[in-house]
Amino acid sequence: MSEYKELIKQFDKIRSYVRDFYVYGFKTREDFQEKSGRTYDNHRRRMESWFSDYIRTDQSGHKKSVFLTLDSSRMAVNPLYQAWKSKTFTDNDISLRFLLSDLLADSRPRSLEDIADEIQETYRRLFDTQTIRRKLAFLEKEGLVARKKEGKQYLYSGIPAIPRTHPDLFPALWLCVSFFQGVAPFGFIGSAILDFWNKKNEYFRFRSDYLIHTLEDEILLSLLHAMEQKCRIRITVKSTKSRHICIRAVTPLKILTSAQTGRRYLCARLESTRRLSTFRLDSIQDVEFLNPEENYGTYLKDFENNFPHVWGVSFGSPQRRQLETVTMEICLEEPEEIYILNRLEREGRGGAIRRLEPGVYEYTRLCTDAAEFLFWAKSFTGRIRSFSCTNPAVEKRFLDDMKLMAAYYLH
Amino acid sequence: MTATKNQDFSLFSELYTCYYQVVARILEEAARHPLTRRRIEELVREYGYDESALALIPRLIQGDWPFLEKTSSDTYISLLRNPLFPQPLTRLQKSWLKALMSDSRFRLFFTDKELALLEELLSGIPPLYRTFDFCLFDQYGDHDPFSSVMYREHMRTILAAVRGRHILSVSYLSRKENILTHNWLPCRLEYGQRDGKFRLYAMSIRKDGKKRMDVLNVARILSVKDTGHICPISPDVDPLLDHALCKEPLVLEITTERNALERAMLHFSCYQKQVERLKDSNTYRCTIYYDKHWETELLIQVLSFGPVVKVLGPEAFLKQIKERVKRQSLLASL
Repeated sequence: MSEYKELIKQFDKIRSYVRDFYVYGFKTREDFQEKSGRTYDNHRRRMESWFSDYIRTDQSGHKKSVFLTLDSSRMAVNPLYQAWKSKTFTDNDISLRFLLSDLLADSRPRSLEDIADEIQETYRRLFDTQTIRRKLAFLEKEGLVARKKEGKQYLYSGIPAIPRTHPDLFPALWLCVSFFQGVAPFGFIGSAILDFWNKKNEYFRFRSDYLIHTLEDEILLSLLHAMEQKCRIRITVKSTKSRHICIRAVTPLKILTSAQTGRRYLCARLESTRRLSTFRLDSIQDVEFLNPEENYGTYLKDFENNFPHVWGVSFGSPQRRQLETVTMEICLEEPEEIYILNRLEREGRGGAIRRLEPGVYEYTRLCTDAAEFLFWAKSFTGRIRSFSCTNPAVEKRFLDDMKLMAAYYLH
Repeated sequence: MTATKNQDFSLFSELYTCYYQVVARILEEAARHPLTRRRIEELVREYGYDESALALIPRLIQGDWPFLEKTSSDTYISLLRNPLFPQPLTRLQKSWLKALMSDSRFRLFFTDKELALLEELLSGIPPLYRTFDFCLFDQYGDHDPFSSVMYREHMRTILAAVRGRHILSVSYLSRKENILTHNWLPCRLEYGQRDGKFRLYAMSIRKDGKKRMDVLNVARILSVKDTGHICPISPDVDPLLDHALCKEPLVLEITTERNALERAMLHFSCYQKQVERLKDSNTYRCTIYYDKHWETELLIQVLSFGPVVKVLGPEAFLKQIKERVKRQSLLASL
């Protein structure tokens, strides 16, 4: 049995555990059915080590549940970025990383043999040239070392840091990175830049920053590459509800991000149905590239034509070809409650608003799937004079929900 | 993960590992003065994970990693000759910076001259991603005017003042459409993805010396001017904000019907919360600690869930919910 280590080899091993701890926060050892209890113990121990400032443990009877408790508006940096900074390495990896950086800091070009000799003289450590060559190749690929040919040999030199070569860009660039590490895709890269500069985010906080999305960044990068290359892909999707796994061939077109929940979705043309479909990024386990799609432009155009009618992420079921119409009549006191009208305008995603009479406004929108509309509609509870939908099931669901709420709160 | 074509970048790499940064900080300090083992342990605890000392200390002290040399007085000095910081950026990091340049908020941080410098610096670097591949489909329609010249100027003045603790004279359009002019010490900028707005947390000091943290929408600032006065100390913002947390948290009961539990946990995941399963049932109790300033927003979010999320308390919040449900019931009966 291998010894417990704080660091890990592969990110996707930890992805689902961190997500579950963060989102649900209450699962006990018995709740993790998929792997052995020992696996749970190791991952739990890692969570408690990586996120120690934010871990709470609750004893419920004899059970012990572990959860993360976070208020994103107080966080300078997403604590889940710690998961990205947990890759294992060998003794040679870290030794050469620091020794080569130190040796090449003067930017003077050196041959491999010179480097090997100087490491031995200066740091009194012997590495064989093959090991050093491999490390230099790795660092060159990562952009940390420059290589040029001179005669028959290659010469290697260090690359100076941006704060030294471009001091005029600071502090602006530091402030910029401090902000975007909290809002841009792949924000943990910005956090790593701050680490490299020995700087912190001191001035920015993020309201409603949904910290969990960082866990999908490996999948996201693959999808974006496929989109850039206009390639078909095969995705392995594991349902978040049923845990059922399926494999789908799709043409990826867009990444849809929710500002309300932080969830990200792949919008793609599904080959089996020849329709647009969406997949939650946290359900995608793997991405395999296939050949380029010659009709990519056409499919993207199809998305652009249809998306304005989508309320959230659903393009509707294949059985329903017609757009659905939702209409609400909203009551408000004018002028004191004009902010309700402002809500309809700014949150209404392009729906039509007209004043029916003083204090009553009608909101109408066409949708591919009106069921998605209900969540927003119910936020106006207390003001909805009427609600109708061309999809009777949606209308019934709204009315039933209002009755259930009345039954619970008023009786 | 299956190998993919043309995917040059490794997101998960030892180059970004926490341990490397911990070691860098230790060596940085060990270059300035000798470190005791205790000090090395303190640095590991401060910058590493909880159990990092177990892995790091033996390797540093015993020489597995050739960075430290033990001196005669049982302290350690660094063998490295050059400063550890700042470190050069990897191609991945530069590529991320390049991608940011097409974000509409990027220009808020730079003068035109600085932007030109950056363009040149990153000219050979391909962007990590294209902004137009993303669609933020449910952001509110009235986000801040990031491309406005005035907005950009205000942001730069605010950022400089936050850093230098300069007191600003601000003319501000309040929610009630009154123009207020007041002096504030800007402390922190908060960005909300949901509405695409920056909010400035600024401290107002009254004549009696009492401090109050005000929240200003940056887009509603009409003018801002540096008064030239500097506050001698940086205010500690969080204790002032703690004051705004409700004494009684919101307590919800959530079922698993319609996937309500998962949806609610994602929707409320930005709030500090505790969740427990109620015994022998598929119902969960969720306790949310929230800032009173955002109570109405939270109320609306809770209403959006309908009957699958029930409010148990506190009394004042429950009363508001009941009022709305009652009004809705009356409207339905008309």
